[in-house]
Amino acid sequence: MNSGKELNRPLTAVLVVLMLVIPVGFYFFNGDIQARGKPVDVERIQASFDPSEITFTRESLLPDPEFGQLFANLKLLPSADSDWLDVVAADCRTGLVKRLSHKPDGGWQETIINQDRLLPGPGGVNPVDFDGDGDIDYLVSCIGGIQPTNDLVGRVCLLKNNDGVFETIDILKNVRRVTDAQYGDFDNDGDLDLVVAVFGGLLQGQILYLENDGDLNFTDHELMNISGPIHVPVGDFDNDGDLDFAALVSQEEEQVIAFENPGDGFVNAKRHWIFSSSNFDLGTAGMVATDLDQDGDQDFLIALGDNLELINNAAQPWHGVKWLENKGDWNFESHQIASVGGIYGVAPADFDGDGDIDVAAVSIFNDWSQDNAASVVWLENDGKQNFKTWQVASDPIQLSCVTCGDINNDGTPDIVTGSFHFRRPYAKFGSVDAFLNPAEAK
Amino acid sequence: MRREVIFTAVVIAIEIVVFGYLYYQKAYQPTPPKPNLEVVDSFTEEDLTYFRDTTKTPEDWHWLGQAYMAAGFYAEATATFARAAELMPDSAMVAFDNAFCLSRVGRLVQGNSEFQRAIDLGHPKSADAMYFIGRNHLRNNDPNNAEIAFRKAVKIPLAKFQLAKILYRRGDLDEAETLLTEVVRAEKGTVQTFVLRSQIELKRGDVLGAGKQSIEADSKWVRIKSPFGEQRGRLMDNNSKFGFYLKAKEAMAKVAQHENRVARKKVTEVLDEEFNLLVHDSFIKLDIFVGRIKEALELVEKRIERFGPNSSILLTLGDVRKMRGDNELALEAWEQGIDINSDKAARDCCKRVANYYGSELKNKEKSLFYQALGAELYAKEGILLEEFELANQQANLAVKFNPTSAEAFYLLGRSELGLGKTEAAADAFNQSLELEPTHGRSLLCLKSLGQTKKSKKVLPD
Repeated sequence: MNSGKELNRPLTAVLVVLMLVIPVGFYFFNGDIQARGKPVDVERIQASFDPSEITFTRESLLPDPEFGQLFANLKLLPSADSDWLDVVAADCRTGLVKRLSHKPDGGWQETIINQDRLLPGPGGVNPVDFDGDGDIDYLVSCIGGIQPTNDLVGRVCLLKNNDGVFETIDILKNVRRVTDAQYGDFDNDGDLDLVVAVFGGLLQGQILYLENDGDLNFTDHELMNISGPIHVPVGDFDNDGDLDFAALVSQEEEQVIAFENPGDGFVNAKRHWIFSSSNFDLGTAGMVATDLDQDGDQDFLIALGDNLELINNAAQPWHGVKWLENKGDWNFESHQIASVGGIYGVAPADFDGDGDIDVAAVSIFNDWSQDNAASVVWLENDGKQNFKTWQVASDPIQLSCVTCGDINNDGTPDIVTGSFHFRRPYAKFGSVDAFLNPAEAK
Repeated sequence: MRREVIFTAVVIAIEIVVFGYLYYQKAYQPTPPKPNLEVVDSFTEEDLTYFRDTTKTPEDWHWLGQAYMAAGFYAEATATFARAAELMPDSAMVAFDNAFCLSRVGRLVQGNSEFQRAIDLGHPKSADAMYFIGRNHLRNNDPNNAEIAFRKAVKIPLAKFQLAKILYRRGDLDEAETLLTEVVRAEKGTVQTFVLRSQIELKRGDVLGAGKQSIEADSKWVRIKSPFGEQRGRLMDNNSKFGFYLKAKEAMAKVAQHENRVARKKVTEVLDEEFNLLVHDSFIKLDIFVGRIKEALELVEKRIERFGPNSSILLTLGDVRKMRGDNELALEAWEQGIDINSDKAARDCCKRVANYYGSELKNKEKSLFYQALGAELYAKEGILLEEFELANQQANLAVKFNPTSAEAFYLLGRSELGLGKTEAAADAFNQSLELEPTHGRSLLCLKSLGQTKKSKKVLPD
């Protein structure tokens, strides 16, 4: 028994030491225990979509850029010396308006239109024979630069075609940032007048009507003092035979105000609030007029995706594309037809050749931290204006503008996009890119 | 003795179970989410990785959420804040940050419930939280609940202003105006109040009154103080506590302190990582300061290539070219600077060009023209800043040097208007319209004075 007791003594001592060491050790090492559990769940916004069943092929119209490009607007127009379509691009970065044409041996060539003067942030361009002399001039709206400012930096310029040599003429200056200028013979006197969206600086924006008095002299009428008008598409929205226009207002009060032309211009125009939202953060970024449901009147497509209030943008659940359906008598019904983060540009076209109007849309502020986040999508119309979102591309990213047309002459509309890349991530750069729709889509 | 052995063994067993359980609890607790750090620069990547790997305490989780949010990883930030909130259920600060981040990604209902929790927990800025609740209701297209929230947060002038806007939209113009008056009393001269007043007048059918308010709004640049602006400031502040923006801040500080060698090294490090306008501009300043003019010129040209021309960079381009003795090229840059914008830098370009024509080319006429143009721009700025004496002085110079400028007479009119001299103002606007009958702003101002354009005097044959 004694020897057994003696045997147990060291064992007991060891156990006692162990008994003390365990809590003391835990106390000391507690702080160093590394967590290795599962990461907490992250809820993300949907950034990618089913890959398009139509396989679009990317073609860059300009050399691959090494850094972010700032194209703000694109238009298509027939080439002067071939059957092809040219692309006109407003390059906010360089202050140049560029015309991109097919080279006879393939590829694209670039021609600078405004060789005489740099433009302060060209943000919108419209090819038009403005002076009626039979050649194409360019109407350009200038935002003044990409940095927001309250200074009077905005302009509307006409790049006047004098037998192929362009002269830059200021039509409107000493105003705040201008985001759009559209034309039409609004007073039916045979010359072209203008409507202008002066986006503004802090809150001082304007909607202007410039009545053409001849010889490029204009009388400017302020139709509305309002912050943030961004686009002013023109069309006969009430089917009464004259041209009306609508203003998309994208700051503070997100709304669309239509100006009904009584027949002699907009000085006494009746205003119709055809869309408004209390969501000041809706992110309206662009608007085009089109007869989406092909019922004989003009509807609107609105891009939702602007999000610049913080240094890092965030895609919102309500971003995407809205369709304002014209129900007649200045009543418009709003439908959300796609939910995609950061949509900045929309353009209608029948991509699948089934006779109804589909929509192409590009994103500037999708959640780019997700690898396959969509930058180009098309919305397939089932014929009853129900739309399915198809992803076309996730590279290049940060796109601001889009236009559609058959630029490769194969009978199907293609998508042409412009890059406005000025935020992180600094990768997947684009410039002016085409996404070619295969002929079989017809 | 055997009993002692058994006893200690049992205690050890219990200890193993208890501490093992505690270890398990700690070691297998959830870890922070890992964002896709490929989309940020390597400085930010390194710091965020470190923050993530060393997150242990509830406070660490809270900071990590703030860092993720500052870096733009909002989805990861909301998940991180949610965990911080689990660990610190009584923290009003965590609830507030969680709410702000949820709102940022458009999760409005959850955001509002977290703002409410922050209020219930006694957050020191409870009124701000209530303002944000109202804001989220607006974003959710629910003006009725927004109104309730703004009424609760009414001590914040911007909440009161939002309330006025809701009432204006509803057509309750009198109450909207009363609230607006209270906002003006709290924060004078803010641009939004003039814009809304103009809209109210317009809705009442008073076009003249609306025009007057519009003209007032035109020269205002201060906005009503915003709780959102405060949060934006906090985010920016957090952003500069780590990663790229910390390095950029340090580099620019070295430039400002003229520690040229260290500054050059730091600035180069930052710009190698990512092109940043502020850092790049400070690099240009540094090179000019130390007399490395050729390098400065290269940097200026690179900046124009990346971000395009504006008056400010064209002014610098002209200055650098002048330093290199390329006088004609300098003149070209300054003239482009005047042509492209109408801001302060354009005004400085005018001064340079006027000076150059006057002193070097001895072309008095051109020098006066540019002096006039500079005075016009100076006057414009004076009007924007409501420094009407200065604006008036400059506008008088502008019309003296260039009596054919409708814009100069318009500016003279605006400055007279600012000084309360309505008759002189009307005369100036009329002169502007004599020179340019389509000068819309002169017409508008004349209208706001209740006058119409004077008909042109017809001289007898």
